[in-house]
Amino acid sequence: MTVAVPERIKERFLNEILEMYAEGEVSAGKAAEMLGIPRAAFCELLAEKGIPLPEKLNRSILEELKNLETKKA
Amino acid sequence: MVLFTVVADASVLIHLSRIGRFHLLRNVYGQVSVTSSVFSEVVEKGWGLAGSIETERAVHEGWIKVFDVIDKWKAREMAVAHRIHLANAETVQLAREVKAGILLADEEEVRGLAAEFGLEVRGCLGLLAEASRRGMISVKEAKQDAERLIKEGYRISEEVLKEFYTVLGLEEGV
Repeated sequence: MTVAVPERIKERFLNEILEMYAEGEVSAGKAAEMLGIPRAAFCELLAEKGIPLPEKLNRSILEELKNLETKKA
Repeated sequence: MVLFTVVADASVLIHLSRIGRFHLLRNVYGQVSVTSSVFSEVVEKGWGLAGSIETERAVHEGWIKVFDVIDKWKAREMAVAHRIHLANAETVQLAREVKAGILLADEEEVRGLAAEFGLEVRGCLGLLAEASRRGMISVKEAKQDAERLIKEGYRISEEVLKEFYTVLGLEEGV
């Protein structure tokens, strides 16, 4: 049996998950799983909607780059 | 060329593919290992999407190796204890099992857990910086790649972008 889900509910569900991802509440992998799409398709969605990386991930990348900078010096 | 064990997660394969830089994995690290969960996610579930064809070809060519995690129980235990996705725990567990020198990941769950085990973590930007430092891509190309990453769904903050430019040896705001 298939249940027809109204478009506006689908849209709201998608937006909620994108927001949870941006807030760092769910990982990209988990978000993709919740939406029932491959990880790469989730990446396409992030690009289309211009969703920023979660703050925690930004901080982690910043730290990695700072370490690289020190190594070089 | 120095060869050491490098483990990658799905995010890095996908993001590098989206900016047309998948080959840098081979140029910089020679050989890369992934878990069977990552292979399944990128190649099987994501067939036709970013990273799928490149990963399958790399496995066929033999420079990406697919491994099952030996201690699956340990991976499951870490996933539960840290409330993270099993596939992410498996990537960290594989890195521990093969004594990886570097773990390539742009997924916070992987990076956070890897840090606990003292594993060196690198993301796409770190890889681009390394490639630039070794002269595989020019500084200008590295800068363009970072801009493309942002457009392609890897929207880092201004602060991170500036730091990347500093690592490349560019002045701020150039």
